[in-house]
Amino acid sequence: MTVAFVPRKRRAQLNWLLTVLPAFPLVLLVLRLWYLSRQDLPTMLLLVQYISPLGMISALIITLIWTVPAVILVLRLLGGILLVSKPDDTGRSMLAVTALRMPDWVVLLAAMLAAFTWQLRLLPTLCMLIVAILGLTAAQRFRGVRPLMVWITLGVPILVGALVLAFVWPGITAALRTGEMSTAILLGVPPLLGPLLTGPVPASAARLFTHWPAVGAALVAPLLIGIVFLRAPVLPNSAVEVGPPGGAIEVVRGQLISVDDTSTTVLQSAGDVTFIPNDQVRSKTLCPEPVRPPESSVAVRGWPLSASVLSWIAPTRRVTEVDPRCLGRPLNPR
Amino acid sequence: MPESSSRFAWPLRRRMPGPDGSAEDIAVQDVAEREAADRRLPPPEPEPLVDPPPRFNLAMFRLAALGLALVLALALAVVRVFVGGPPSVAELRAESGVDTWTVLPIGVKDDQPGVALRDKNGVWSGFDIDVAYMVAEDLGFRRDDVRFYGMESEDRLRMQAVDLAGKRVPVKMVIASFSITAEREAAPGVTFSQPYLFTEQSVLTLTKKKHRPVSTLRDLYGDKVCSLSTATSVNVFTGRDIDVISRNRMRECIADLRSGNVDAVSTDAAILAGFKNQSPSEFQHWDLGLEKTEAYGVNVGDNLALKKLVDLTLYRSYADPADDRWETAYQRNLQSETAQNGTTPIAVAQQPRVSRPAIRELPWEDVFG
Repeated sequence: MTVAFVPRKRRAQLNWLLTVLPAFPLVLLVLRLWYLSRQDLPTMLLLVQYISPLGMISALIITLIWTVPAVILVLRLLGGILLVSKPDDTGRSMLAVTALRMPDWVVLLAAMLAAFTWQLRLLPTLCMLIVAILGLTAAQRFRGVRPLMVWITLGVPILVGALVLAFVWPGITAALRTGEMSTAILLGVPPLLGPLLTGPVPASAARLFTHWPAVGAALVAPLLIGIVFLRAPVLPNSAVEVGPPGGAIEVVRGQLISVDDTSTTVLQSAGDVTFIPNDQVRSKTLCPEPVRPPESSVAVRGWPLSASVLSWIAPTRRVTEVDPRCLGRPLNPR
Repeated sequence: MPESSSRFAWPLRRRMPGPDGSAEDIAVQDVAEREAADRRLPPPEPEPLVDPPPRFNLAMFRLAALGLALVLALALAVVRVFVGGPPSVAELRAESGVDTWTVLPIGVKDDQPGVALRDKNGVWSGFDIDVAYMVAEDLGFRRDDVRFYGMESEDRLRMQAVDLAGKRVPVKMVIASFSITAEREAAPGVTFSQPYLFTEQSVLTLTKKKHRPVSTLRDLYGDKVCSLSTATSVNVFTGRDIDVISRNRMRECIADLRSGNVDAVSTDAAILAGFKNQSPSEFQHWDLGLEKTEAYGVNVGDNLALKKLVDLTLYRSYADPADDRWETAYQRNLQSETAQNGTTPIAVAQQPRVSRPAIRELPWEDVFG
């Protein structure tokens, strides 16, 4: 009886998971609108009326794309460790089952996506994850020729760690010099950890070190993702010059909700919605997002730590001059 | 399973014809039978957990190859980025010594309005000065850290300038309306950057002397002409009926012209246009109709790494549409003289083409602008 019961229970849990997963982004989007409307229901309904779901999903993807490979790779790593440390326990842990059933191409795609979208300071961690997953896969599936096992579980992680250290070494020294301890740890420690993560841990401690951290991360991750997304802009920052023809000009700053045939709707920073008659609109401009200062001033061989590969491949637009309208002043004062 | 089987062996029972006797006899016989059965079936040895012998597994080789590919890709990337190929800007800076200089001494002319002039307040101005500031900015020097020293024409090869107290000072580079020629480049310790200005030779005469109009060299026959010593402009007069007087500084030539010691001054149009612009009614500026182009370059001595850095600045100014420092310098110093100079050319109003210097650009860098 019990033998038949366990899979059925698991399948039921999986169904729930599949229900919740698509609901999570939806909840995030609604929460984002509620946040934007300053908890004012009419404003929120107005936003819902005008905001394109595609635009919000774009903002969601751009902001959160880096978390997808993070979840996949960490799950695969922790699950892999649990699998090789305590093979009998596979059935009891969702983590181990997920890791066991995860196709290799998903891991490969996640690694490539991470290589492009993660900031430089996370790339040593990515290398550690990749070599550890490689070694764990070998330990989990093959009991093969010993030199090959040594190469996969020791040779590759040590060589990759050494190469990564050689690359980030100037960054580590610079971080230590400027007193950025966390940056130095983030750059220097993962290459050393790589060789240690490719094999089993003591069976008694395996669950403690893999299952429970994963559960903790699963509980905290939605919260973190929610906070990250709530900060992401979903409406364009704009400034509109308003004034009767020939009269004084006033600048309305805020987020442009919509333009229809009678009026231009702007959500001001305090949460007020302003409808500006179109014949009073003199000019409009797009304002740059306030740039958050980078969390680290260190650069590794000229590569800033908070820049990802994608950001130096993709063309950028440098904002050098601030439009006076974005500061609330008319473009041509009289 | 092996554990449970050792603890709980299923009793082997044979049905034999029952003995005749009491229940006690039967029980005794049962116990005996049972013991006999236990003796016959010793608990099985636990099956030893041995690893199966290593066997050839293609998937494992594939995984090992994947690891090898990962290591090779990283190693190749590191090698590609840091070994071989042209030097990077950081390497050039270290090699040229720029990183150790606290100030940047530059040799310039100090008496040529429009090109390089130190006025009586000690303020430097002119096209060469702006180019020098442009180079210094890219080398990481603030304007305060740039030291200009006036120099004579003959000292430009040796890179020796004179400070205000008359002391001789070695300079790191010379930006002093210095034309690039093959003989100069052949001299020891001279390295030119790529050109930063094209101009040509012209002639300046005094208006009150009413010199006949000059359009060719023939119009100067019989004249005494002042030019700068070691200047390229002297060469065109050799072998002709023109008395050439060489001076070390432009202001000496102009003084000679004003005092009547010479009839004309001939040198690069960019230099003479400045004097014409300064006192338009005093001088007449003539185009000499010579084909030869004077190409001004920066002399960096024997510092080849510095040459590449200077070339990089010139290349960026040339190639980057957003970098208008050369254009601004031209408009401020030379274009502004056209009104007074009329049709006489001053210089080519476009930065000379600069070929891209061989400098390593890492994928995430933006060295060439």
